[in-house]
Amino acid sequence: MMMMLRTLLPRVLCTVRGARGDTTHRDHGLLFACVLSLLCCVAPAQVYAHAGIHERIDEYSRQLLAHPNDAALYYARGELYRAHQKWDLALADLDRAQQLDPALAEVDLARGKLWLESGSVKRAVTALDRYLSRRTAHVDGYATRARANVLLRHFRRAVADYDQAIAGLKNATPEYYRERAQAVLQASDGSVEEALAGLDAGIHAIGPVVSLQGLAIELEQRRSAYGAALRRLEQLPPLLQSTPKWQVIRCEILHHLGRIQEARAVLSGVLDRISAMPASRRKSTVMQGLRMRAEAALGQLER
Amino acid sequence: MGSKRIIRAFIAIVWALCFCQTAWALSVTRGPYLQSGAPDSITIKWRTDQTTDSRVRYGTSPSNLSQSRSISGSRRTHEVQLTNLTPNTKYYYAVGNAQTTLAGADNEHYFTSSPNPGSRKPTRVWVIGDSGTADSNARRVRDAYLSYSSGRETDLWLMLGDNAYPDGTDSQYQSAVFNTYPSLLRNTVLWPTLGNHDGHSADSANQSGPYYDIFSLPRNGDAGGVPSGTEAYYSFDFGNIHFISLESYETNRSTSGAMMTWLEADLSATDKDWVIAFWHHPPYSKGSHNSDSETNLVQMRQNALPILEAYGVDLVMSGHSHSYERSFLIDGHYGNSGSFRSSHKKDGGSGRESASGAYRKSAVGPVPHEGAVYAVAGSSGKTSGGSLDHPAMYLSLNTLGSMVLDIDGNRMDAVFLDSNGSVRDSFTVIKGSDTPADPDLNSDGRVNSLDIGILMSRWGGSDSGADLDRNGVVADEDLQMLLEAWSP
Ligand SMILES: [Fe+2]
Repeated sequence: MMMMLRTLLPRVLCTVRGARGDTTHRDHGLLFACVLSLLCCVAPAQVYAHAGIHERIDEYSRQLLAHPNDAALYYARGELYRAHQKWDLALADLDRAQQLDPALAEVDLARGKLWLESGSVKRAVTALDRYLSRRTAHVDGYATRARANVLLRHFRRAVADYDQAIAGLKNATPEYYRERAQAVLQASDGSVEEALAGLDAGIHAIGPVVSLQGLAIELEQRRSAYGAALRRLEQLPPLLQSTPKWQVIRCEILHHLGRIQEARAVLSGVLDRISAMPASRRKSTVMQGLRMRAEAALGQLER
Repeated sequence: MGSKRIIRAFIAIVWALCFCQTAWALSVTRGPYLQSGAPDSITIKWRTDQTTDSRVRYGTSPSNLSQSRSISGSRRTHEVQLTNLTPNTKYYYAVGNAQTTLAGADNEHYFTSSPNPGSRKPTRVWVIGDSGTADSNARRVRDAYLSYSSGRETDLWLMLGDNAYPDGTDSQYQSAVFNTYPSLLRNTVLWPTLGNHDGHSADSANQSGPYYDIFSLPRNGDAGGVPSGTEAYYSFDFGNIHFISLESYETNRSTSGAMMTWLEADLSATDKDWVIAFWHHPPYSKGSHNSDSETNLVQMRQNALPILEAYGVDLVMSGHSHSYERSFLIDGHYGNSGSFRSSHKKDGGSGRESASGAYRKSAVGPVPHEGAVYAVAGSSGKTSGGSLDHPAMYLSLNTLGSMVLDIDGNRMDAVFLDSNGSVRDSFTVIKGSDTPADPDLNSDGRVNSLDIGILMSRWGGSDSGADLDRNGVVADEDLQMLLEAWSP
């Protein structure tokens, strides 16, 4: 560092002097930024500059020879083993890290993820319980435990965890809202209304994206609220509304609302569109399924 | 004496710091770079060394930047969206603040707005994966491409993840991206996906961290496609190509999750000639990662591929393994490598016109289950070997390089360009017929009103000789071709 300073100091002064001359200001700014970033370079050296996972593990192992009581090194190596699905090695490192530094709460999050990924879901929840008792506002911790609880069919607990995860997000993401609604629907005391309310919170934050609104439309139909289903469908992006799939769903809803003429017109439009597709697309499983669904809906209308 | 010198040096540094803060002009320390390009809009981002307001001036000549967009307030990271652009038009630009131009207003700062959706503009795409080494490897791969592509604009640029090693921090992005590719960043919209190393410092659920700060991606379908509601995964159109970027690291990859639900909807809504998807963790690889045993890779193969193939994806590109591995034209293989059979090959040849012929799909537009090419292109910063023997692959190379795609109408030519500038692989996919049909529809030796009558009677249909351009539907373009061949 001192060597670096000795080399750089004349350049700093020279640059400052030059700033009064006619060299462009932009060049000085760049040079200054470079020099300053070097002067301020106090970050520890990266142990693994551009290495792959094996080299990084090796590097941590080398460092552990020199610092055998460094909990952070065990934790970091354990996380790499986890990413590489070396469960036993990962657990051994995480255990050692916690022995050396009981205050390192992240070890339990890593353990929770490891147990979840390796299929020991109950153990995952135990580790995550410990973690969340110490880090009470950790989005990832709650989301991970929510998913573990879903696997254990503890849907109510999962919903509570999703609520915590959602509350901790700065930018809303569709996936937690969708998974929360799915958990509500599976809970023995869960209702379509409760699931819809959760989806609407997501739609309010993100917009009527198909991963949320699509499920909401399904639920509105399930509770025979066809007017609401249609209103929601009409909030989907026009690009999506015009697809054969959503046109067929629209017709099924219109039928329930008694708007037979409209439904018939839309259905024959869909069938025409499918017929006009190139054979390879028309004969695909997706399109054949939609055509059969459209024809069945049309048959119902004719009755 | 020694201590006096140290004190004098210290005072000099402090003086220099104060002087610089007050008297030096602003400078751009990052970019400018281009994001979320669409036919009528684009986002320009840059960073300054001090806080200031933001202004972009732009116009169709570098000497006449007659339009501008300003954002008041002070910041170092600047992001200005230009709207109401004319599609497929070259604009020059300059960035700065209300008083000063800090960069641009020259021949080096320009962008071309995307072509109208569906229009067939010959399109060059540069694709790099695991490029974030910020070293001579990455620079050699870059220089090989710049030399290969000299005289030809790059229309689009894809980054397949692990864009900045080892942790995707802001300063690592500065070295690996902004200091490595300054000229391309000025002129070509960059579309990324998140790699595991980017994910060390970024959080996809929260869309936070350096990756999400640096990139501004279309979560609302702003550049075409169905809105995903998140920057973690998104789609966009460029002319006749639909691109899909998935997040394979920390986003729910199950088929009932939000990402795969969106993927299905997005695919169902595209009618573009080509569908190209990319994400970081490869569905097929025997490079430095093994797609038989690693969860993210297995799940992307098992969950994303059936959806993509059911809607006719043409090309899927990934990284993660630091190698180049390129498949045959394949379909329907979702198990491990041991279960790959020759029946999964829709075309077991090279895809080279000069050898076994181009890969062919029956129609332009999304064609389900007629095969896709899967490529791992993760050697743009380093190579890491591996057994490189996945049976789905036509070719596997432990070689530094990048991919270049050229898409022109119903034809796609792809190459793997190594860091010495040699083309080490090439393949071609042709959709529909590459020879137009005869406009003399009634075969009477003349192209006249009788032929128009036949064409009109088949309007909107597909399986007839009237589909002159072989794009799968009888439409305006066919009428135009007929009129061009008019000989009554
Ligand atoms: Fe990776």
